[in-house]
Amino acid sequence: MAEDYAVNDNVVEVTDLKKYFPIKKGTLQRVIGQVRAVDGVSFNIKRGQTFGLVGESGSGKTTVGRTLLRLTEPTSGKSVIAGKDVFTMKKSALRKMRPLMQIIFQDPYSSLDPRLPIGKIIGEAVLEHKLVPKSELRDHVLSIMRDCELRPYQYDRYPHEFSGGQRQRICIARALALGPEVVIADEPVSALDVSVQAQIINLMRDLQQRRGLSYLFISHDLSVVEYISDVVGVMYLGVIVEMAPKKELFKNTAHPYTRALLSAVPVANPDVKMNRQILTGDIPSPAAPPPGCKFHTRCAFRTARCETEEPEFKEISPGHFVACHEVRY
Amino acid sequence: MGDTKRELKEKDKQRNKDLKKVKRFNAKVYRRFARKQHRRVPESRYKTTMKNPENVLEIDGLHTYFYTDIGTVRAVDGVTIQIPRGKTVGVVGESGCGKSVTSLSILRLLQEPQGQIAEGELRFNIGDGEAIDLAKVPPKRMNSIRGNDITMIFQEPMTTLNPVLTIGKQLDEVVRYHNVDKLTSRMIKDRSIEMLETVGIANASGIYSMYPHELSGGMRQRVVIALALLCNPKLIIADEPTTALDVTIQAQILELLKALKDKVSASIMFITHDLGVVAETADFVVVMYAGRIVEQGTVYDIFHAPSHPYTIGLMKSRPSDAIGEESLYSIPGNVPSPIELPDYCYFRNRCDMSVKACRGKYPSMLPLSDTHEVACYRYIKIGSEANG
Repeated sequence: MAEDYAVNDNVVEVTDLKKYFPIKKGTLQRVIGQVRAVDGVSFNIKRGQTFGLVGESGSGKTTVGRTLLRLTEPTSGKSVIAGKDVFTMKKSALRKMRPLMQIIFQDPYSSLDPRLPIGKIIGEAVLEHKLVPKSELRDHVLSIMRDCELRPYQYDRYPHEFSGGQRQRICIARALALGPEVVIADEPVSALDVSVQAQIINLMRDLQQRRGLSYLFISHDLSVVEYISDVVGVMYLGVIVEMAPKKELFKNTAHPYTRALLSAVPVANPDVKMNRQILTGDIPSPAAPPPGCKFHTRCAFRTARCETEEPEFKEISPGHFVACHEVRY
Repeated sequence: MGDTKRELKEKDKQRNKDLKKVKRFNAKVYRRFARKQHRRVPESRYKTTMKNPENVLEIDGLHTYFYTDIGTVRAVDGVTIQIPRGKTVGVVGESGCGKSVTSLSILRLLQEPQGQIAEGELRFNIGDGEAIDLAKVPPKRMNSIRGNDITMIFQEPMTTLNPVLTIGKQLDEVVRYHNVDKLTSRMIKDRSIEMLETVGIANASGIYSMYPHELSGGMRQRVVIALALLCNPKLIIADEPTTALDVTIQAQILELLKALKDKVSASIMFITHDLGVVAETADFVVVMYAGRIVEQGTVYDIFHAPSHPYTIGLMKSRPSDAIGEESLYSIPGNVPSPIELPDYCYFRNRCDMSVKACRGKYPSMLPLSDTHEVACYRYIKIGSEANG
């Protein structure tokens, strides 16, 4: 296993990941259905690269991030991180793995303990995993803080004294203090203002180059994903409908959903009168996904075939995968 | 670090003293405003005339302060905006720049007694060139304007709607309260259902008897828009109406707002932080920073010739304009604290284009063309060079 990992440079390999949440009812809590939050997702992340995952709310992108780290138990599938199968390993082994895979959450206001000074927040997990001796902890934390452009005197400050952007820096520092190989960033800049957003994205990119990190960057904002990612996957209702290297995806967009998503983004130019394809209706409930192609209920190009037959996820050009019957190649 | 216990105690004492002083000052201010509010105000006191009868609303030198225990926060510090009839004015800025407080001041929904309009006029057109000053209007009169002539669409559709009342009840309530046309219950219901159809809800009579939690985010926002349109308002204030929504739903809602604007002929004050949304919807744009307007003009002025360094910085820091570039432009530094604002240009410390004149006091608005204004010293210099 370890040899394989050295040969191919995929840090993360996810195969057919599924996560169903049971719907329970009544006093006996009988299971009466399943919410198919993630319904068969496969992708790889290369070392030092960023995989961007885009989709509307309810498409299952956050669940993908959480299950592949086994923060929620998966229903089925396989997730190999740094050469080790995360889903089959014992809890104790998983614990040892944890420093290698870290996560940054969306809301920097609720993901920091308000009663701990930030030096403790950043150092807590380091101490827990005994990564550095206790006597060197402070220096270790301070050097991480410097990397994340936080000042040393802020070591003893509490989270409420920081602005949103700075809090997100603390979250990044906390993740990096453990020396991870993979960082899952779950909408890290969605709660921030444009100018602060730029600072955080620059920081993340900078750290990636310096430390050779691999990111899974989850976002609903296409422009952010387009900027930071190397490969982009577009999710809809628990499946990836299109996946390609960034340039290919934004240039030769194939799936009708991706095209609609791209045309929905407002352009900061009053002269551009977009010929917009507006999707009607909402994303269907993942508890009762439509048969056939999951997108057919909102698709402008649907045929009779789409309503019954699930499209295959096929490669239309090197590295460009699409799940659609109507794509010509 | 090196403070002894005694020094720390001394410091604590001083802090308590300061706090007490601030509290006493605030209490005085609260009393002053409370007295003002309870006094019976004759109509002549708040009736004025519009400067330009083509405007629906003229915000003139608005100062809204929050008298808090840690000091006076100048949330809005001298804002002048004109909203012409049937046009959309986009107000852009980052969080904390005072854009939402401006809209709350118009509707007199500020958190009282801390939040108060300290100065300024809000002239609202009531026809024939006559106006009433919303800053001085007594609460009772304000109730008849709010939700009737001026309405608001809030950001979070889930928190705007009452979760324990049906959609129908909430819609009917608005019409019944203002009931200008003396409608019967039956007619009110028809009107509500008709309005739900107008905002593009297919199964209107079904939705009428549903609760908010049964609807998706996009549908809820449509209901909130219906709520805002019920009384044929003259001015709709939309405070980040699409921020909580997905891009595809956002596109639907923006399209709806554009279509409705022509139908109901109301002016819209569109508050957002998204430059893309502003470019699509607005006719005029106001850029705010730390409680003041730094630049305003038509959409074309702002997007083709952004002039204030802050506006330029905002435009540059959009990731979509930097694809393939090594690093994203970001404005250095942070927004200054609203309590201790400097007496020079608030943006000077973050500005990479500052000139010598920037050390002077806060710059006033400088006209660049008939429609375009900017508060920046750089243009004084350019102007004088051109003249000399």
